[in-house]
Amino acid sequence: MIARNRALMAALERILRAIGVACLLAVMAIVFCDVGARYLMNAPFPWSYELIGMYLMPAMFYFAVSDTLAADHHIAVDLLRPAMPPWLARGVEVLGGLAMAGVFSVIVWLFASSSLEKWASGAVVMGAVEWPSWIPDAIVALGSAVIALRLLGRAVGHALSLVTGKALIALPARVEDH
Amino acid sequence: MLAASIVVLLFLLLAGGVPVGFSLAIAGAAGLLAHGGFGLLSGILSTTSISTVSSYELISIPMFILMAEFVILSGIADNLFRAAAVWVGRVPGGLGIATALSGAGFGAISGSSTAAAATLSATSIPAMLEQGYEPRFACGVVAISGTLAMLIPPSIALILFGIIADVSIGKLLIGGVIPGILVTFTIVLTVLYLVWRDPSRAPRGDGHSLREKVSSLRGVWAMIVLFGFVTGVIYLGIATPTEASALGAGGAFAIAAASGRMRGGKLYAASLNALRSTAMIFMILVGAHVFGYFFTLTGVTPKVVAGIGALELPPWLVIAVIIGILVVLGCFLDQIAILVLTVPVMLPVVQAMGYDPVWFGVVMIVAGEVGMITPPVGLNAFVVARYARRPLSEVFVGAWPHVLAHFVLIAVLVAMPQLVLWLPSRML
Amino acid sequence: QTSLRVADSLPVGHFFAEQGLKFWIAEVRRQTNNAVEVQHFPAEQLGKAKDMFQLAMTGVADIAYVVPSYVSDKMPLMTVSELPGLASTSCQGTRAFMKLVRGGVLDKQELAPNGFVVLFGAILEPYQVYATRKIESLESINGMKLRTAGAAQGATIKALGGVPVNMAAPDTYESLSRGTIDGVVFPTASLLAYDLPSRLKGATQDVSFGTVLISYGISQKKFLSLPENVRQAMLSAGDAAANNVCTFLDNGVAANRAKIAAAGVSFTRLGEADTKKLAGIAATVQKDWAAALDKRGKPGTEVLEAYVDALK
Ligand code: NA
Ligand code: NA
Repeated sequence: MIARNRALMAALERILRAIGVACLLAVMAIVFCDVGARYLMNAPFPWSYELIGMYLMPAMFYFAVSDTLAADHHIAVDLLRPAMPPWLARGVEVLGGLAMAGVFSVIVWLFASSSLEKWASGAVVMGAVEWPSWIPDAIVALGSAVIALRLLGRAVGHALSLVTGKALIALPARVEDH
Repeated sequence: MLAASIVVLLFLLLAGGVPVGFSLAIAGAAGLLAHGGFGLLSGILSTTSISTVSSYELISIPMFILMAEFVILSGIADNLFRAAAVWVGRVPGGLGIATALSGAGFGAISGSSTAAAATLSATSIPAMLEQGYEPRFACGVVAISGTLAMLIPPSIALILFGIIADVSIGKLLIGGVIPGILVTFTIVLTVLYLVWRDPSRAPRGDGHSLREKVSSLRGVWAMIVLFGFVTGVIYLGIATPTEASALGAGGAFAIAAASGRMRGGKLYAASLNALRSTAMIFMILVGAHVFGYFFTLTGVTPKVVAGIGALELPPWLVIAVIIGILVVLGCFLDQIAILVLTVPVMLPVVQAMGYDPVWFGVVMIVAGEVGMITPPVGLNAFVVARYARRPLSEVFVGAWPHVLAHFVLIAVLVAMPQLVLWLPSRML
Repeated sequence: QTSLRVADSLPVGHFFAEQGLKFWIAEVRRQTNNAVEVQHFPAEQLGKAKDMFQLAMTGVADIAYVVPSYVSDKMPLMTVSELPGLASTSCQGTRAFMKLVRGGVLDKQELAPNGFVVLFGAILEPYQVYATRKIESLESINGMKLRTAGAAQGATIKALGGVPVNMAAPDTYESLSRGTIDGVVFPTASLLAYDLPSRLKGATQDVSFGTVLISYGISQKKFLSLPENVRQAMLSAGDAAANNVCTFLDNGVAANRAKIAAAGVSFTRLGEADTKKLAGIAATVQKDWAAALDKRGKPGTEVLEAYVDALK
């Protein structure tokens, strides 16, 4: 069961990060074309500023934040880690992971409800285009839900490792291990 | 009392190895919860968790990081430093000096220190290590050289200061020029001093003939074209500095494609790397904001500053204390959070003593540079550690001599405000 | 004793905080015998401009700064105040706006349903076009890349053959110097704050390319929890503050314009035909705004008509 959940998490993160990469490259391409169209033809895209700021930027962060954690790419202060006994390192992982999962869960709750509310009321931001405002909130809620699950799974894994004394889940492999 | 316990909690989390962005968010959330209950916490989270990352102006961070990834992918970064080694290899610490100079050059097109540090790490650290430089020496000079981007115009930090303090942005940006050059010299002198004290830190490269020097440039033209392109689109008025970051990424993409090294998988891998580094930095920004709002709501900063005012100290000592506070805050807060937190309360104190706000803005940024490379939160050190795949502790240790040198320079800028103010005063 | 947290995103010392908020605070304290304490968090200390409404609704701040165009998904009708071609002075627009939020149509249709009370607000002077070239007539705007803010300003410039460009205000200085843009649509105060006059040559005068509304408000829930005398004082101080800030603005325009002119910017009054043409374009933008809202089931036309009425 653990293996199946883990595979499901990884698949979710793979999909979201692929969307994140697409957003990143889209920002590059849109700004490139926007500037070109403005300079050469005096015809910039009126929608690019809002599309990038409102939709693509949050998507780049929230669709990547969990995958970044899975890859241990979130920078941490690693001065003391090598000197810590495994039980302490796992204890920190459990407590820190649960606390952060809590923060992200609050974010999920806040943004899922505001997204539903905005969707139901048909709220739009009036710019060059009428931008539905439930979409950014849904992006935040979805990305936060995935990382909250990832953090929770890790905390449980470390807690079980502590209790059973078996290394069911590895400690984060950060730069000093290479 | 609450603020003190929250700071202790933050340090415990950081020391325990919890990621920096998470530590800031957890400590800040705990503080908000204790200070104003769940309503306050959810109110802050419902705004800051989205508004921090939904800004068009922020694209320069992912775009300059993406540009760096594509430059690495194309292989021209190696060529650049091979050429640099040919040209300055005979000078003691030559590659370190080249790093400082390219940091200044890159700073003239980039407003973000972290992007500059990412690009420099990707290009110069491998070259220095290959030539047998001491790793911590190499990491230190790259970390400090990256900070030049926030002093030499364009600078996101100076623009932010201008907005918060309502000070002329044009004058602020011009005010950063001379200090930027001075910082570059300071880095070069520190490199020369370190190499003079211990020549084994930076083995001397071989000498080369003029013909070899000229021909070494052949592998570099793409880089020069790219830098020229980014600088050109800004100065020819084709794009804003923010947009230029995306054009730079596009240009680097084209160069990587032309190099024949970009197959589908590599394009995805490079983009994914850039995406993850962006997520890492944005997570720190979000965490720093949550933590910063706790500090603001509990009124910690104004209390500290009001305390200073009550002491009736001589102005230079007040400035010294303020710079001390900025450096200490820089030890655990992001530069943007520091500006937001301190400018509204510090600027009135400084102006009341007759100091110029443009001067104060520039000095704040120079002090902020120190914060970028000091533990435990030093964004540039993080970026260097990540890109060079070196331990963070090594970067912090290597940056230490530059921190000391910076303090000397700050003292000079405090003693001679004209160094900052002369150039803006020439503007109409 | 009532203690209130006020949040805004204005720079320290910004005229709106000085002439509006500080005036309002002093007036409330005077009317209540200092029964109200105010803690002010300026310069985005509690959040960005677009966060402010939410901060007030969640109680992070008690009173927050609200600019309708930043929260157009929550307060689309309030953006009526920012349409081009309506108020010709700050006070004319401000007084009309205050009528609509004190029990008028904006209060009924938008503020009350959102659970929000506007304490005071003011409409800035009509925005003008400022360009790096001289402006002889409306024809000069044809082909110019102009930094605009908001959909209505953009539509107006586009109708004149100009090219609206989105850009953060702090980027305008460098962009003008290098020709990335040919001009900006700004009020005089912002033009001076961002140090732009030395980069510019021409400007329009006495027409309206739209404007911006700045207001301070409080959630209804918090408002109703306050003692009756404090509520009364907050509303009457609000009327006085709105009046104070718009008078300050209108009195300042001439002096600001003189400063800008002294830096080498020549102001042009449009000819009769051009004035008519611009009024026609503004009327189309207003109608399009109302129609878009009507289509979404919001009373756009009703609010526009009420505002035009209140301006008289
Ligand atoms: Na720079
Ligand atoms: Na630091």
